Amino acid sequence: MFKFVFFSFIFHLSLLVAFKLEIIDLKKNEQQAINVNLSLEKKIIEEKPKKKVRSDKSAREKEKPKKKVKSDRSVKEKEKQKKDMKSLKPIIEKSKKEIKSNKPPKEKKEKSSSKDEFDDLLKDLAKKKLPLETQDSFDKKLQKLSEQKLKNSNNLNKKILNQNELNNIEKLILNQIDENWSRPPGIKTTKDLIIKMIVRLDINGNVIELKIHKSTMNEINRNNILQPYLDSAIRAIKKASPFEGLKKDRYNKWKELIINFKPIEAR
Amino acid sequence: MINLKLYLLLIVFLFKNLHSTPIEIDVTKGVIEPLPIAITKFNYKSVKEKIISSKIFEIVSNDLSNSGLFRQIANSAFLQNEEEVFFQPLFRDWSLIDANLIVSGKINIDEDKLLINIKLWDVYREKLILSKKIEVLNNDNLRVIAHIISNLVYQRVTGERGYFDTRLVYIAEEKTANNVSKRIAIMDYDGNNHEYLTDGKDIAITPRFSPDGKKIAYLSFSDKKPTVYLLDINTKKEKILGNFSGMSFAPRFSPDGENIIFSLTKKGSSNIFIQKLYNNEIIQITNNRHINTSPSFSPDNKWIVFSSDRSGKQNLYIKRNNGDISKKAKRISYGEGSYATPVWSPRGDYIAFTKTYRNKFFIGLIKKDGSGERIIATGYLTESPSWSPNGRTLIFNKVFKLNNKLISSIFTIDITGNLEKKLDTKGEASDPDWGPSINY
Repeated sequence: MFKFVFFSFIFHLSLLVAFKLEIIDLKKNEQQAINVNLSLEKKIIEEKPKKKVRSDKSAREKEKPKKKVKSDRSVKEKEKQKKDMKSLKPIIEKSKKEIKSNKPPKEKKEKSSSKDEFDDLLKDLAKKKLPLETQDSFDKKLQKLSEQKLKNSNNLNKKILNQNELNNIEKLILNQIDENWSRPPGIKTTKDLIIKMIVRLDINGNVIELKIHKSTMNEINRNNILQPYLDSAIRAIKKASPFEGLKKDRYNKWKELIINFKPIEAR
Repeated sequence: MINLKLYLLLIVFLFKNLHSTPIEIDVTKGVIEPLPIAITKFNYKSVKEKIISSKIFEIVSNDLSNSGLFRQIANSAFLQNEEEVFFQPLFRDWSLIDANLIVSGKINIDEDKLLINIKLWDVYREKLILSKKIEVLNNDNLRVIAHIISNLVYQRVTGERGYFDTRLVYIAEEKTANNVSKRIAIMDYDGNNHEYLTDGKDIAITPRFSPDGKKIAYLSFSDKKPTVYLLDINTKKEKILGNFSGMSFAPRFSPDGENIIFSLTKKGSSNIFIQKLYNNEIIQITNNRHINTSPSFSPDNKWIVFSSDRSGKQNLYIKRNNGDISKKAKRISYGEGSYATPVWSPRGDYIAFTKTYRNKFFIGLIKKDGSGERIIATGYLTESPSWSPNGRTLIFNKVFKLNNKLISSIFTIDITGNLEKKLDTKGEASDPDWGPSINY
């Protein structure tokens, strides 16, 4: 029961973080998401040896050197995290492997123990003095949490920065389409006419896919006088390809775009 | 462990979803500039076919360039053999010279028949966007066939009917030291087949086409009294419409061609009347002591727009065309300056007008409900707007200074206020009216 509450708490917490981040930065989301996943993994990694502390002291002693390796690895992981967030996935896999490798043969028995036992374990843990290594890892965890807090406090600034960055990407793309959109003048249009298109770009800014939104297709089928607007919009995107000036390290932000052509007649 | 995997999966899924929200960009401006078009010479085999090909090339090039919507790319810049394009263009080569569209075709003379295949290619979409076969008699007018080809291209690119087979009437002015002659002239929209319809003895003004393009209503100052005349273009026969005691002005046909609307001046005030052509019955539309003039029907024949000074200065008013004289007209113009010569668009969306404000002249557009007023042309003197049959281009009279002399000419402009272009006329020209398509 406790396990379920614990995990659902983590899940909801991660949901909350995720939604907060969505407004801030899309790529950031991905990084944070992996961070959250990692911390989840670590909790599990750290919890499992604790179980051993209670069940078999000798086994714990034998495991000490293994733990050291693990904690060293976790430091390395953090460094890697900072260096390159993209390489986090393999790390997750690594840590998963670690969990498996760290599992003592008695693990199965542990797993089969009752929920009350698990509760007791947590209570005992609270009373007991933690061994040095565990203390270290807790310190690191604390440090990590404080870093996380610091990050969050900086989020407001980053939010503005990221919004600026998004605006810049938008502006860059808009300008390139605008100057290539030779629109047919004087067509009688409906007020809310929107030519909506979904564009996918490759890392070099080349248009690799161009889809016309269903609503636009319906509108054109109803009133084929609007076909020239669609033609001109497609031409504009194809002429603008490849889009220039887009930062490759921000590819995730601009790899897919929704372009709405809104021909306003009265200017 | 299973739970954990499930949660992880959920979280990853969630983030994947969040991450895939793409940037949305609204493009509203764009540029209005002529579209670069490559017009290739149509493929031929015999000498006869070659002559036809050259002529069609010449007329189509002229039509599309004249429209102001296209910029023709010189054939010397082409990288691909013109003959091959008809079968399959090398789109990359054409995009290198910035051709957005390619016109290609093939001509076949089969005994007394002339077969023309026309293909329009979109270079950036790498797509054939129009393919049409035209079959006509060999001795048919080539100019008409070429105009039909231009219309097809224009229609595919703009979504609206072309006007390359239309005619214009205008007042040709000849100034001598002590005399000014004003005659009605008719010509194809591109200046060809020019002809004078009146001899110039009496001053003629405001010629207006009938909806079928066969007749012209105009005002003539014979006997120094302005009178509305009806002229048959083919037979050149004319007759006086409504011989009234007062002076009649500004005649215009109803969209069904059955009535003529005009204003009649009596004792210092002008009012609007409709005359039924089949029985000469007269219906009075306005009845007051002001100047009510320049009436024009809406294309659905349900409304009449006119200018009136009942509010102190000239403004635009609309009234239902139901013969109810007692019903008050609704004012639609509220801007500064005075508004005159309203003309309803054949599309029905706008009313074009002339505006004078602080000694400047403007051509503007306004909607029936008085909204969306905008100025599309201005100059030393701009007046007499008239619509193209497709309702997206206006023709108007513009007077400008050249070497300290005032020159009157006819200009066309798109309803967005772009692509202003001077039309070629014989001598000075004013008071133009754009006629309907003559071929279909």
